[in-house]
Amino acid sequence: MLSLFMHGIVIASPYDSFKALYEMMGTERFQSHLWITTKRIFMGIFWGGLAGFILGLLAGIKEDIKNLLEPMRWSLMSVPPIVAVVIAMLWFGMGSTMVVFVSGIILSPIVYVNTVKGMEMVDKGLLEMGRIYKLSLWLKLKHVYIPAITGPLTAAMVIVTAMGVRIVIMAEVLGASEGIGYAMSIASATLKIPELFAYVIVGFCIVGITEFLVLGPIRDYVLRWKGGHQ
Amino acid sequence: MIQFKQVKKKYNNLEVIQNLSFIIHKNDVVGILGPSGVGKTTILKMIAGILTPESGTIISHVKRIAYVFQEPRLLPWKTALDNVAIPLLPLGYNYKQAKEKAAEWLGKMGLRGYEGYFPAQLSGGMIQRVSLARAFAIEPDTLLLDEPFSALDVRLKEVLLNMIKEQLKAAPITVLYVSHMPEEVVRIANRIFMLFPEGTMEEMSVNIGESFKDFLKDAFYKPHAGDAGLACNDTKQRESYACM
Ligand SMILES: Nc1ncnc2c1ncn2[C@@H]1O[C@H](COP(=O)(O)OP(=O)(O)OP(=O)(O)O)[C@@H](O)[C@H]1O
Ligand SMILES: [Mg+2]
Repeated sequence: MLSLFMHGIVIASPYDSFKALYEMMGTERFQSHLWITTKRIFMGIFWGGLAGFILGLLAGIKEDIKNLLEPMRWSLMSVPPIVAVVIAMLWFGMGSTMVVFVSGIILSPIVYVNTVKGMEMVDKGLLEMGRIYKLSLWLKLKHVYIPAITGPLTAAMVIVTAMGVRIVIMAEVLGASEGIGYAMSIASATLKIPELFAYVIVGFCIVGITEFLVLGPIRDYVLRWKGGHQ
Repeated sequence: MIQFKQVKKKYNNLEVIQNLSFIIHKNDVVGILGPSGVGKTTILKMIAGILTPESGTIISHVKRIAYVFQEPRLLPWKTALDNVAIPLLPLGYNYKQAKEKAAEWLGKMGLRGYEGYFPAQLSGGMIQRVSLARAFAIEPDTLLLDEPFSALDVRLKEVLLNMIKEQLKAAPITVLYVSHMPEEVVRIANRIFMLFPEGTMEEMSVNIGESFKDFLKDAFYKPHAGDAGLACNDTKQRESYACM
């Protein structure tokens, strides 16, 4: 709609964008960008998610650990992503390590907070039951805490995925020589607007595919106990 | 043996238990009666060690306790079978053995065929029976039952009461059985504790025969002669057997 009123150089029409996307899709260059970005997104979500989850579990079990981690996640959450990219570029240079590091460091606090909150909300009655029946910490984690937090956590993962895609692409725009973000920065520098928007569509698709084809089935499986019928 | 010596328990400012003293010997089957809100669950929780009294002492020689909670407290994300099997794991069973034992107890509770069901797929009475199976499966030396039959129909209650009775005959254990229903309690208890709303307790004789319910009604009212506050106009009180 917007593109009807604005000049073609600023915003591309859906037709031009899809046409550019179609033309790009066959090229080897595009496929390698897509592959690299996808890999970075998954790595960022995986490492950030894992770190946030494990630290969240520890914080949920031990108050001391939580008191220690709380200021850290506060400061991490208040660092603007762009600053994180600049700092990470100083540390790791350009490329995959930097991109994965930045997305991990920005995503982990979200997973951490959701894990801690989820653990605080675990049914006290079930914890009492665990105590009476002498379940070890490991059994309590495995059968009480972790299943109880998977619900809120899968919701958080939807946000984390969408953010992960944006952060990886942003980090690539600023400091990578491969990947969708890098290709976008080239397209915008050379004023190939339809191509730029074609990459935006690719971003949509990555979010959509991870949410519906990866997270959805995982959520349905882990929350199958909520369902009515066998 | 479980002994309470002048145990007091308060929640904030609410004095629930005052100066409670009793001794329960090994393999006693004790029925605990009393209207809603007198502190029956509170006593069981103190015995189980999940609540500590404000003052007084609790001496307990209990080794392995099983607790059938008033609300069944099953893990909603685990099947009936796993709910019974998981408490067996800390006792040294491997998962396979635990599942076999769990299946056996679910069978005894009349739940054969429901092993793979999640709690959300079971009826209230079935959930209570899973909770009973979980308690018996660990082979406790002390069993705390907090109104375990409240969601069961008369016939099933009968079947399970008989089953528990048989079980206790075969392998005697200490049982504390909380209920609103005197007629249920007399079926298996060899001692009966009666709790009163002001936080005191009296032990009743079990062999009073048919007029038992009337007797309890009287006993319930005696200490409160002239106490209008205890009349059955309070809904909470009316639910109790004394007002039936
Ligand atoms: N965690 C708590 N915090 C504050 N008050 C509580 C708590 N648990 C119980 N109480 C209060 O203590 C009193 C006794 O509770 P308890 O659960 O022991 O009663 P009960 O005899 O088991 O009743 P019912 O037959 O209805 O189960 C009640 O007045 C209740 O409001
Ligand atoms: Mg109770």
